[in-house]
Amino acid sequence: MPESNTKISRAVNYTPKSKFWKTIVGQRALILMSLPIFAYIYIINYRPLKGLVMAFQDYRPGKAEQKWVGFKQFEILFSDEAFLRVIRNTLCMSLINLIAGFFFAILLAILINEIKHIVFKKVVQSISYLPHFLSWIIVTGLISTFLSSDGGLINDFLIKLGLITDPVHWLAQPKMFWGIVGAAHVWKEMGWDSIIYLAAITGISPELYEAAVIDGANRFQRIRYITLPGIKSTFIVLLILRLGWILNAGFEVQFLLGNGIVSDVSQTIDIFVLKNGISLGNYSLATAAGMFKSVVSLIMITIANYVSKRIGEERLV
Amino acid sequence: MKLSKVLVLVLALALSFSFVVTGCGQKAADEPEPEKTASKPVEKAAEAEEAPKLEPITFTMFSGDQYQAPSEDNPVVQKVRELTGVTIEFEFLVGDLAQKMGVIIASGDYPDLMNPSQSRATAMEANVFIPLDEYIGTGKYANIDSHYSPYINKLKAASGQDKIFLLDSFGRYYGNWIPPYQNGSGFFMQKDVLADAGYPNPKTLDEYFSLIENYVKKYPTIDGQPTLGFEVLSYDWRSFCLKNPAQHLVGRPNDGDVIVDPDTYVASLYQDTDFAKAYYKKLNEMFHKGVISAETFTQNYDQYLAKIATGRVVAMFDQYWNFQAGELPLRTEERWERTYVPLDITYEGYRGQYLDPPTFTGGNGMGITTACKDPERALQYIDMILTEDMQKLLQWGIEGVNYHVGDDGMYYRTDEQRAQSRDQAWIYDNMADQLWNQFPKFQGIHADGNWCHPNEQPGEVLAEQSKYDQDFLGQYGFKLPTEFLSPPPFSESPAYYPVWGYTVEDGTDAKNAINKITELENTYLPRIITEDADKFDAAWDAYVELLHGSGYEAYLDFVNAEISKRMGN
Amino acid sequence: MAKSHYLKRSIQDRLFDIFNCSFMIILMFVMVFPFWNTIVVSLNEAIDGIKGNLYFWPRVFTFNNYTNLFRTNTLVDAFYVSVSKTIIVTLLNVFFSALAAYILSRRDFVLKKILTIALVVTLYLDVGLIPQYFNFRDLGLINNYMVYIVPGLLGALNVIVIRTFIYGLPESLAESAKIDGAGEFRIFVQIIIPLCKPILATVALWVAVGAWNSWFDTYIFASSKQHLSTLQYEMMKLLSSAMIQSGSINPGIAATGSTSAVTVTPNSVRSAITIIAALPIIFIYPFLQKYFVAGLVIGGVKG
Repeated sequence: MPESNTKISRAVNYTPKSKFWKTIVGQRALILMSLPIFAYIYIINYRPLKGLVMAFQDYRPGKAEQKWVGFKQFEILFSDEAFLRVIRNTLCMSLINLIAGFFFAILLAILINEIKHIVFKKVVQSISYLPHFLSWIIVTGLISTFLSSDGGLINDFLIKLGLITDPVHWLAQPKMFWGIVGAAHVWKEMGWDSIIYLAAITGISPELYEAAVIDGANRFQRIRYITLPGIKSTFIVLLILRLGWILNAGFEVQFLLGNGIVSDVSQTIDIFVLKNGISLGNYSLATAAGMFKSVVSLIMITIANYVSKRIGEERLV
Repeated sequence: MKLSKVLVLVLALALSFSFVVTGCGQKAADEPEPEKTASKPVEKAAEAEEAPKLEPITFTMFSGDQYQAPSEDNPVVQKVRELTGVTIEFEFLVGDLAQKMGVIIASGDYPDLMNPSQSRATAMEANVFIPLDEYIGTGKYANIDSHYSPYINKLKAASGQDKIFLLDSFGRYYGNWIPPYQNGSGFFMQKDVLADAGYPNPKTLDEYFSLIENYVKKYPTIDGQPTLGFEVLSYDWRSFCLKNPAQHLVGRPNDGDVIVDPDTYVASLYQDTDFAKAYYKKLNEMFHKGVISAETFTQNYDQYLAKIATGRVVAMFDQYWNFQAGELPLRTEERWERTYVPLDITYEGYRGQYLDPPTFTGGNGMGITTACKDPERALQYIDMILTEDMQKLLQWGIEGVNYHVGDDGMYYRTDEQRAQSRDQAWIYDNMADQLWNQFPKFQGIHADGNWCHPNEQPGEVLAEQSKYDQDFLGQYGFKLPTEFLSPPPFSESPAYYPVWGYTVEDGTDAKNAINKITELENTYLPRIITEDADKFDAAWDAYVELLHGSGYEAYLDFVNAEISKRMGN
Repeated sequence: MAKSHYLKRSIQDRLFDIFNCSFMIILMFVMVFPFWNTIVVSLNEAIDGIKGNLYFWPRVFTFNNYTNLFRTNTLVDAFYVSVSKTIIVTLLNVFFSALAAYILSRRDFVLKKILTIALVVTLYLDVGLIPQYFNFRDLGLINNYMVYIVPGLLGALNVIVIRTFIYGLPESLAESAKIDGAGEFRIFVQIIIPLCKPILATVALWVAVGAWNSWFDTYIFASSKQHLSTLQYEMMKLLSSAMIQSGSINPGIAATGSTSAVTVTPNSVRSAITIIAALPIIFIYPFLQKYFVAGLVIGGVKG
């Protein structure tokens, strides 16, 4: 009803003002339904934002009066050489996780979708997401065990194959660290992340596949021309959202797998904030770092959304 | 009209859900009540007979330690409740302490009692606790007064505000106490290394490492797995295994990141000294000889324990409590030759000081918050548990049930009781561990000659020693493994000791400095140890330069000011 | 019919299947291993487990790690709280997220842009724990069951994902309903919701797993009320005390002892907790799975 109304109104060429009111009236149901949503996100998400003033204070819990320090916390962050290094580490690990994460999740979704035996398909799918339920401390524990130079499976295997003669100290190699973290992420989350793509694939009309089969399209062509376009919009939307989290590479994995030898490449922003902020009782520093991350996030998704819009793809806004 | 229907429907949905929800909440809220009321009459009856004055009261308590509250129906807890009328409702830390304390302090939603643990600086600065100065020394709480009378200054110093905020729960020793076992730092060595070499008693670092080296050469594998010469745990905050040894090698006790001159009581950094360098040089040498594996710097804590548990770790510097979990499987499998003894290792010409005499730190305890519903009653409770009878109840348990009294008046346990006391699940159901652990307590020896805690009672210690250990120690003419170590040089630690127990206030230069020093040590020491031998000196110099540029003076200034505060008084 | 198709399949097609199946079998092994290993650790005697090297089978089999968890009677009450909050928050979140998504899927809606922005921005706000606590306290949520429900009524990510799915639906369905004179809410309930089952099942899974696994909300916002405790929080408490037990508080116990001082270790508790936490989700999974693993391709090809 609202859509057809606007079309008619355009045709009849009302003045802009009455057209506007016409739209409002026509969409009154939608507007009323959206008001509680506005109210809700204001109360839950925006109202506590006033707490961000902490970033400009030397906040001490329990004090009635807080000391205002202007941009001191930000200065602490950006004057510290270590902070710039952890930004680099965070960006790199985040990008590796992002690219590998998307690639393997989509690959897995497509391959699962191509399995013909329905029971096998369901079993594979159910098993693939199991690592998601394990905490990082368990997963990193297993990784450390596998990579150990003291009887670890990976070293044993490589030695038996004759590829190496002495065990490699995987976790003591700064070059390897980002790759190990990336692989750990893929291992833990690829099955879980593929669920959304499987859901998107079920939204593709079966008629398209039938028609393709009749036209003689082979497997790769069907994947290329039907499945991939079918999940493209989901992929793009998730990619835009994910780019907003580019400064979130987590801290648990890096914290649990890191050590003094690789600390130049293993520390992330979150670890930095934990060590130099929260654990020293400097909650303001944590707030300032959070604020910095939020600003970067918003810039990132704005750019990503704009680019996506320009190249004619799905977008958020 | 359709719109109104929509709205009504949405509202109805929301409402119905909220009814369901509040319904659930309400029901859940009511549930625990019946239990409480059911158990109360019994208590009241008991109180009516013994102490009619004491109204039952419940205090909530948050502890920054990670324990499990004793179960409510356990007999010792019930007995304490009967005697005092007080129920303690514990909440223990689960996640990150700074995070949780930040929220508790900021919100002002305090419990009645609080043990702020490592967040004590934040808590005391925010005036979470009521000052106890006006209560202590008045004679109203005679047991508290006598318990703390030698240490009032230390209690005040610990707050940083010259007030008593916390009643330290540890370190108040009675009687002529000497440590019956080494729980702290030491260069530990597997008993078999010593047995195999004909029971020597190494005293210097060189002797220690040459024993290790020879043993590794002689037995390249233990039970089919490669022998590990010397472990240096460097994981997270447990990196004290990496950082602390040098101070002990020059005969100083564990003061953490500084060394304190025993004559002038001036603290200085030791990580930049030649004797520290010599230690890491030795480790570097051992690394290149294969006695130390690079794996030791990347392993996590579990992997470290696992290695120890397989019995193939020959030696390590550590604190006993930190690796005892790894030794447990060796004990259950009775592989005593693979368990460890601490050795009195120093450089030539020094006397080891690994065993600490009784040490009262002052800040490791419990405070009464400004939100406490009845501070006087809370103090009365603490006063009541600071008696010999109550301490025996809390630590030994109930006579005839948890222990027996011998003809000589000494307490002992049967084998069955000893076995029970090692079962955490049993303790949870039958003993009041957290009541004595979290609250002020007696340590040492009671006036009647019994030790405050059963696990320290000499009869109990010897009764649990294995045949192997008796023979092994007998070779040296020892009865206890601590006899390998020099006895403590004082009957009580100097007033300043230990520096690692000082509360460094958040946000200060001193805190930032110590944070930076720690970070540098954790980062660079493993790299220095694994560096090529010819590049060692350069790597060391680079590290020392970074240390000197870290602003460490701020930390030293703070420490020295604290020391003189404690020593001056 | 099916057979003739089968015969027509190209070699390439078959190679693909062979490759795909082999890949999936290897993958299954890689994915099932950590979970299996966790089960193995949880069924192995705790002290023996310290030695590590547990891979495919428990060395010293025991149920102790599980019985130890259920020794305390708090776990049963906490289980009910966990179940109820998970069900309620999942239903409400899916419903409201879908409703918001439907509103935003109307491309001509006047408030679409501002509502989308307002929602998306929430994903990137990090106000910190203390302001959040104050906000919840102002709303009366502290130590209140509603703290499990109210903050989870809507998820911005869920809204966006559902909206994207709705975009992909044939518009003709909603159009024809509108022409039939159906109101917005009826279109939403009768047409959009049934069509969105795959994505709603996905979102439900996300929300349910999140709600089921969370312990932090209890810990920060409801920890002083035992009747509000959740299964996860109770288990975290046990885990956290197990960490201390193994590095014992009491100097004497293991230093003198002949046998073990601890009956559980952090690893044994953690493994048992992980399995207990995962089981309910794994149990309900097949019921959701049918919505997003539909086997449409096969259905299509086989006719």
